[in-house]
Amino acid sequence: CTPTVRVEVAPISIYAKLDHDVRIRLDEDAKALVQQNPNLF
Amino acid sequence: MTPTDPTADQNDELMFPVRTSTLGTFSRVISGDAKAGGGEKGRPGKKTKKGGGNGRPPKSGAGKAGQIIGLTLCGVAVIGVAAVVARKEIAREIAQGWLRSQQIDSELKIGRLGLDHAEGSIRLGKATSPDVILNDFRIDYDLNLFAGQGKPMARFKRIHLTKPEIALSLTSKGLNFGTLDPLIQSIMSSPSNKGEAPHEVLIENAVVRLKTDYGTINATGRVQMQAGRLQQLNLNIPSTRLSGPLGEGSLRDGSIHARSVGEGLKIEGKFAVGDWEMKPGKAGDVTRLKGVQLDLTSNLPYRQLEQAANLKASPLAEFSGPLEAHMKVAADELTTGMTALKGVKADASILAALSFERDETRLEGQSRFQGRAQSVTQGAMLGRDVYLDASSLNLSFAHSSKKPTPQAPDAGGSHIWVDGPLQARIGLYRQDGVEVSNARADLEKVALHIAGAESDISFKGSAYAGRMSAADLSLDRVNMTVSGNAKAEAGLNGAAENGASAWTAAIKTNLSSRHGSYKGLDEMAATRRKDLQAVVYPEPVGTDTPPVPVAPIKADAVIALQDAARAFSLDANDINIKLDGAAGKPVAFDVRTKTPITVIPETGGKLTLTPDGTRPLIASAASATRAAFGLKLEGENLPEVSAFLSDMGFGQNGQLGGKLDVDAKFNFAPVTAAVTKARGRFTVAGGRTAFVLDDCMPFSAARADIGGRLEGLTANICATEAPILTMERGQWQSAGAFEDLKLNAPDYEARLSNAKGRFNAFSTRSGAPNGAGFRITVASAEAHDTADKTRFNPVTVAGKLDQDATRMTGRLGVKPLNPAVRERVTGDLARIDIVQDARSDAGYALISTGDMVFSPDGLQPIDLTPQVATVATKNVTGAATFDGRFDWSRTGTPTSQGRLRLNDIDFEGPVGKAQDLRGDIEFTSLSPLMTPPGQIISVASLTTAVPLTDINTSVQFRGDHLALAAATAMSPGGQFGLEPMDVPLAENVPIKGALTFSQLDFGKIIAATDLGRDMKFEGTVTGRMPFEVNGSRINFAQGELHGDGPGRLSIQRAALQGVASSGAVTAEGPDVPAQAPADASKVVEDMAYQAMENMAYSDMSATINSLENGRLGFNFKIKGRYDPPKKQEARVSYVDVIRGRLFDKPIDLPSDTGVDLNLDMTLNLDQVLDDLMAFEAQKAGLK
Repeated sequence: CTPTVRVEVAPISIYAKLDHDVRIRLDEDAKALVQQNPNLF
Repeated sequence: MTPTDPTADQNDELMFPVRTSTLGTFSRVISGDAKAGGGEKGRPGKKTKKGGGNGRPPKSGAGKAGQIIGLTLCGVAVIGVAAVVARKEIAREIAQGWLRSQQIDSELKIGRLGLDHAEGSIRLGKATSPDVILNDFRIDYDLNLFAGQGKPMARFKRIHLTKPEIALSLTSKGLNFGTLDPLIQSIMSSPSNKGEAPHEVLIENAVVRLKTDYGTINATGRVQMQAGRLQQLNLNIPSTRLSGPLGEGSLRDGSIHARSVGEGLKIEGKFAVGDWEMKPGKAGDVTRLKGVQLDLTSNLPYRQLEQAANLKASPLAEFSGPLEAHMKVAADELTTGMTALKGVKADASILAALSFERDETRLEGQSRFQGRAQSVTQGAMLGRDVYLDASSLNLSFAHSSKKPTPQAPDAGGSHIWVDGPLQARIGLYRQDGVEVSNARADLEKVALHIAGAESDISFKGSAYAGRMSAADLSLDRVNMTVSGNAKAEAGLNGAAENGASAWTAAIKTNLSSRHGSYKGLDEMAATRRKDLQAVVYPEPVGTDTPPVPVAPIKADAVIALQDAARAFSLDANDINIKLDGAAGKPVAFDVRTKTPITVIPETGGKLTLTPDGTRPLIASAASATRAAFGLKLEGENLPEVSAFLSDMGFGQNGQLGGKLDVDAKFNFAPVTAAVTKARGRFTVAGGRTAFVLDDCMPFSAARADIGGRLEGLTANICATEAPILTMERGQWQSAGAFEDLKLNAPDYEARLSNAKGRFNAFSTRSGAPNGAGFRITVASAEAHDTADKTRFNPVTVAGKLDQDATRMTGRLGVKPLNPAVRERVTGDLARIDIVQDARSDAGYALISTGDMVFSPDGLQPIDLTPQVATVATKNVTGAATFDGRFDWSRTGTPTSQGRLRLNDIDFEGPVGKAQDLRGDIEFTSLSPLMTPPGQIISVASLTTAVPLTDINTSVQFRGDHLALAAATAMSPGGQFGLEPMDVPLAENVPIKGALTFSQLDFGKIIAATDLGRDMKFEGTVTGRMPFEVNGSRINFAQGELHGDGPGRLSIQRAALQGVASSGAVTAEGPDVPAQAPADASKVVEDMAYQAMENMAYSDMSATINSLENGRLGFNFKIKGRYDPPKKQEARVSYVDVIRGRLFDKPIDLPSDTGVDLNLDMTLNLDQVLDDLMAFEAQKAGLK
């Protein structure tokens, strides 16, 4: 076992950016499904 | 016998009003052989007179009596002379034999018989009915037995008769002397001879029985003649009761006194009749008289003509000369047929020259006539205080006995001319509703000419009437000029077949009055004034457009017309009236003018009647041309009317009809500024006026206050089976159909269009609270909402409205207008019941939907109102009920209230799928929508971006917005809330509010959303997110949240788009060599990722703001420490440290390393919303 050394980490300041995108679309299958079952949704 | 001695031997003839021939001699009578002049065989000789007239005018009765007497005496005297001894018997036998030869019964008694005197008594005619009885005759005579050459043998000197009794008849068959008639007729035709007249004739205490068609008149009298010339005549008729074929009556007394004075004969007659009835003559009318008094005084010419030549001019020549007569007649009552006169007085006098030429009789002179009657009635006509005064008339009369010849067809016959001024006055004239009072006519010239069966009259002058009135119309102080002529003739214009008379008249007149008035509108105007003064028009609700002002009361058509009709002046000039009358036919008339007739009210304005140049104003049925004229009414407050009446006239049944084109602008509360244009036909018959439209008439009104303020009303009014307007005895009715009716109801924020149906309006009895009643049937009408925030989708309305004298009631059904919806939704959406009390003008309208059951294939809320568009667009199930009412009264703005109950409603919409929506909303106003605070609307669940449950809102409708007092909803992470906020109902008005949450399990929220893919959260947060919704955009600003305490955060490394971190990483320990500075950023960055994957925070807050790019930004400030599930230290291989490759490989972040995270997280919110809308639209488009 190789000798390890303990690392000290000072408090970290983080700036993070999270851009969340949501898209709502009917794809072709869903379209066909809806046409066959108008009351599906 | 004491006859008065004759003064002179005059050879005049006895003229007792009529002429009689002189007594012939006895011999002439016996021998019968006429002397000079010859004569037909067997007839006494005719002394031909120059110009011997064979058309001698008829002889009067009294003269004939003298003849009779004279004839008889002559016989007696001759016989006396011949037989002196048995003279009496011989004379009696000769006389009676002769009389028998004349078919005359007789009985002769001779008292004395001498050479110059004879006395006795004689009866002529049957004993049972003697014609003449001479109770006591005394005759003095001269005998000349040898006279020869036609001279008389005996010449009477004095005849004295006492108490003679004479019976004769004067009937429609003529004068008749009974059995003496043949004898007298032959005497009458023998020539008279002046020289033979007795010196004196005296008849005393004579009794005359005159049989007439009216009964027998018994008169007593005295006659005195000298030399054949009347000196005195007194005839007295005692009071008697008469009855005959042609009439009966009571004669109170009568007398005739005649005296000859110089060249004249003064005659005075007096008659007094109690009552008198004359049976039907040719016309078949019974004539009755009561209390008649006749006084006649006259001076007739009675000349003493010596020259025979003059006699030859005319047998009546001695009556030629100045004539003066004065007659006064008074009758209490005179009735004939349908005509009755009372209190009649007539006073006529004449001063003329009378002349009898051969074939001509002429009279030329002056006359004066005054007549009055207290009353004259004929059928429906009444005249009172009638007075005629013709103070100086020129009078001419001519009669010619010549026979008409082809060369002179007009020869012969009689002519009368009368001309001169005439004044007539009448106190009162009344007929068929027309009344004229205190009227007078001053005709400066009246010219009358009568010739046989023809008569014509012309007149010119002026007339005045104190008042002329018909029904409610009256003209005071009317001045007229009158001129014209009239012609009457048998055979005129086709009336001659039965010889009936016919007449024509042409009158021209100008008529003007400064004081006309019409009261026909008074009652209606009074009612309307009272009603309109009581009306308080409510303050307008919607004031975006200034309301159309209501017409002032004085501009109301009826009130304005009544004000104008109260006092006006009238001018009608150049009026030409043509009249044609014939027996048994109605009078034909034709009234025309070329000059407009004007009526100018004192209050201003003008009514002009403009004649059509070639057509009459009015004409009778027989007239060939129909009437036409224009009417124009103008003036402040007055209705503006422009009308043209044409093809107007009377039908055969007396009905007046014609065409009417009218354009009118008027106010007729509750309608303001109405405009219409009507074309049709009118009829007037039996007091009923009806107007029928030819085709539909456009109608518009700026405003109509019917159940609220209606504006901009337009419609087409069309005819139905009933007339559009009927008026009769002060009542009216209007029935028709309306189409394309449009109007705005700003107080209800609604408008109607394409309305059609029927109406029947009518006047109620006077004094009723409602002046007018109506029934309106609305077949269909479109109702559109005009509120800023449309409350309801267009619907159709149908039903009935009824108003009688006291109340209005109505029921309307509401259906969706959209055909697609109508296919899914049968039956009414709602029913409206309307009630209004006429006394108070207070009323209400109840709106009830009953249970509206929503189903995907049936009714959907979006069908009803767009206001649910942002909430529930489709697949709505459940039921709702709405009951509302509008209340209005005369004195206030309409109020309204209602209740909306929502039960178990599931729906879908842009915000997601909702289940079990409930609500029970009490509206305190429906226009605008107002409720008290605390109206609870709850939704069991709403599957939206964040699934919500137990949504409860407390709202208050406040007209243009909803005041949200509170709203809570449970989300997977806990309760959300909305701070009190106003939700404007108008579109495109931003909605501002704030979303609040406390102790919200933010982790569950994140987990329940798409964010759960990238991050996990544990911990509750509290915060507030102010937002503004603008159309389909939501904008958050200054939102903030903070953790309620420690929690945990885990962000997937892949989700992050960028990390920047800082921190010191050092290898620690005693035997760790100093390292050279190296770039630790990679390691630190990796450590940052590790930290964000398992962070336990102690303090967390975030600001929330919408960003420019349509994204929603969360800026987190999180303090905490790295807390991986398994405690870990950061250890690196010693070798790496030594080799200075500390940072070449990631290093595990040691647990509990302090982390200070500034996380910028954004969400494509606008895109999500757009996608949601598009998603909904796509789904809807696929159906």
